[in-house]
Amino acid sequence: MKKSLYTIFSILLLCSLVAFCCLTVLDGGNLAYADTENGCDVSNIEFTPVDDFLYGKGVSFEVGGNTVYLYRILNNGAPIGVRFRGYYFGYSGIQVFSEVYSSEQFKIDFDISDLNAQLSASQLARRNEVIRLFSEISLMIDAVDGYANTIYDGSGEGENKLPLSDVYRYNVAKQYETVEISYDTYRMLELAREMYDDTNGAFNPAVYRLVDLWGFSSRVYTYRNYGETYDRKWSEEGFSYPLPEEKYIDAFSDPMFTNFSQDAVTLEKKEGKYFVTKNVSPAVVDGESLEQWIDLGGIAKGYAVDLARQMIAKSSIDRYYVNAGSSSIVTGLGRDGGKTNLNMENAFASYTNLLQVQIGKSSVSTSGQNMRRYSVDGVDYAHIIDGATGAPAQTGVKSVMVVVPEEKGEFWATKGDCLTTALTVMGRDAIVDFVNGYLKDNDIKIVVQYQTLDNRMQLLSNFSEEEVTPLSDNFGQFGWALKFNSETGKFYYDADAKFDNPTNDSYKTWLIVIGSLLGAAAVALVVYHFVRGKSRTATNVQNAKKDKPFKVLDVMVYVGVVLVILVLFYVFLFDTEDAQMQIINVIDEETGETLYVYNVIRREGYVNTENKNGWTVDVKHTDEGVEVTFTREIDGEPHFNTMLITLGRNASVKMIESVCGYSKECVRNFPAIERSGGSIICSPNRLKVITQ
Amino acid sequence: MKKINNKTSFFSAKRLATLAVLTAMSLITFMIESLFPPLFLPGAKMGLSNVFSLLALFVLGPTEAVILVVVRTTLGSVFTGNISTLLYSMTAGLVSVIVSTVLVEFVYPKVSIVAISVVAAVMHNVTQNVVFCLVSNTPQMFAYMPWLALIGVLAGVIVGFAVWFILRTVPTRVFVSVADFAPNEPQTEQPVEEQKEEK
Repeated sequence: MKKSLYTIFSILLLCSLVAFCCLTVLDGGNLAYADTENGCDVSNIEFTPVDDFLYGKGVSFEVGGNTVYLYRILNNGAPIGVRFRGYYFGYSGIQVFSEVYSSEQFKIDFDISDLNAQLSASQLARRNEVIRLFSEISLMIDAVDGYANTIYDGSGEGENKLPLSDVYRYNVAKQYETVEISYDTYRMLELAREMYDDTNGAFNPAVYRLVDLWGFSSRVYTYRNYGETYDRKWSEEGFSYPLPEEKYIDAFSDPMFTNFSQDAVTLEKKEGKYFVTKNVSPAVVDGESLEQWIDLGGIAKGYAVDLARQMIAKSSIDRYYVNAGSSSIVTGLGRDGGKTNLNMENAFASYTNLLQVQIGKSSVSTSGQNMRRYSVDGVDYAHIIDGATGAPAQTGVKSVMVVVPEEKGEFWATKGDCLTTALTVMGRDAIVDFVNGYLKDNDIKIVVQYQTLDNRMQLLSNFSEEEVTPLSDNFGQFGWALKFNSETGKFYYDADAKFDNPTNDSYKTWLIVIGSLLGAAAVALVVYHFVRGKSRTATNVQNAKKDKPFKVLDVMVYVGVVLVILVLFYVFLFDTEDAQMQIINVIDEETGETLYVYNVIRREGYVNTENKNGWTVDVKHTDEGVEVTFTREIDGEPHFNTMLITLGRNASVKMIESVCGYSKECVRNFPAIERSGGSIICSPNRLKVITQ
Repeated sequence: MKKINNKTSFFSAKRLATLAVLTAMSLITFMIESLFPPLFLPGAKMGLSNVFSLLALFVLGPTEAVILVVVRTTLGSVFTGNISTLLYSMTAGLVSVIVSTVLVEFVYPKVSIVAISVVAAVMHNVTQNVVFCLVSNTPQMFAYMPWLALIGVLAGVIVGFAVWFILRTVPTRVFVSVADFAPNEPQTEQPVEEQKEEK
């Protein structure tokens, strides 16, 4: 740590601050700082007063090319703290917030926005300390970003010149090349390696080619900077992105290609210098060699707030928080020296808070599948990639929050960032195991917003229910699904699945209406017939004798029929919105119960074992896909339906065998379904398959 | 002449026998058709058995046609072992009989038998689809409706031509013996003979 570049700079900065302290007062608010790029180049800090609608009064100034803002925090008109705000991490513009509050050790009893206030010497020293602290933090974040940002290729001129990042240099390196990296990059890679091992590869920084392929890298998602052969053009209109080709997915998800072990990505420390060697052979697609890429973007924010916490602690401030784009947060004590209230956003409803927990000195990482995502043909794809499948993680985990208490050691914001990714990738069952294992061992608390197969919302959390305060009205819709068994001392998942399929009564009403109309018409017909007599039939027969098959007036009838058919086509085919099939529901038509649900995106199924009609459901995973057989005895004879679900990009469902009625309509007549809103109906067995 | 006619027409042995024969033929056609794999769509059939319900409508009248349809669908679903289909096949059959009755009663000589058959077949398929969706509570099946209507046109044309051909080629005497006879028709020698026979 002591050798890190930023520390050296901060010492320089401190020296210059001290040296120019007096000047500051004389000049009425001008402060000097050390420029990181040019070592000892010293210039003046020019404060500009700001009055922000959201944040109130404050000052802004330039540090290392960045504009940062410091605002006063008032309580009953008296200053009690300082709020810091600035934009970092390239042009994606992640906003970093920090607040420090007055305490016994470090009184913030000055108004930071008042440049001409008469301050005592100690007040002035503390004011400069705060300014120095946030200047340093700002420079530090810039430095971390400069090492880790995949976009920084050293291009550009003058003011727009980008730094050349360590990660970029690694990514362009060929196999067996060694790249010298900074201490911070080395440390981040080390932490990433640790979490790669601890999560069995669920967190893997080496899947960046896949991230890029799916269009979630900054290069594609933010900059629309197409250059790779596998790039597809983003469609602005539909906010959509064509799915990548299978051959690239296969090549990039090869376990050798995404290997992040020490053998593959070798980290070395030699004579105070740090190196990383790429030992992974490139993926070859159509004769083109594509090198392994890594990405530290997911953890750089965590690393930055970890460092920020250490810097704040050094200034003996213990009431604070630092928040980098909401995904990485460190909290000290709260404003009043107590606990901090932490809100978690509802992943199912944007911009609403779902719940609140109270935490002490901790680091918090969050990750939501509602960020950085797009939708293709009705299926949502979000930014977290599962290296095993080579596709965006589809596990039903919508949002993860990880809370690690400070006493567990340093760099837990960084590790927490890895954990949120890992928990999203690993899915529900592995999360339960993780809660009972790794998370318990490390005293880590999590809250996971989980979507069940039948689209219900659940919370998986090892907080106790009492510790969580509901903030939103729809908190009640979330089931508390992670229960604690006090006998075994372990958490377990309580599915509490209902799978009710409420019958739509309006259809029954329509049926009655149609039946009555039909009955009335039949009665009217017979009555009319008897009243009028049967005198017409003989005439008709005789007319038919010399009838022609076409008559002029037929044209009107045919035109009418064609019009009716056109209207039907318009109403039932062209006017419907359909999408790729995602969920297959198998329903017992008689009782309205769902017998089986399969989600082809998540590749997960659920069997309703307690159905009223005694169906047994047998699920077999074969090479072709999933074969599900529904068996039931009807009138003493065994009846069954077997359906085959093929997986892959064009997942489909088809009834392949049955013992039901004579004509086996369900097998012979119903084509395979690939879209939502399709149906297969076996009327003799009263079974129906509905796709969503 | 009219009196005699009215007395003997409805429940006469000949009429009943004709109805029975038509029903049996209709049922057999229905059974044979169900042996073949269904057409491209679920529920899509040629509906050749409708030849006989349309024929019954023409020769015997609507009441008999309704009876034929009810008997055919009931026995047909029992024989094919598919009782669950009874509800919608019977409803659809009745609707198509009612529609063709209305057309025959009011517009028949002006439009051809084929056109009537097409309308009836389209109505048959549409009704079958609607009732099926309602009974099984599966609105997703509505998507098949336009295709079923289209197939109905094809089936209607075939059935219509069959009925037209039968009425044209089978001697009038065969039908008129059971059909009611309009008193003021001039050139009908046959019905008189028939009535004599009945006496």
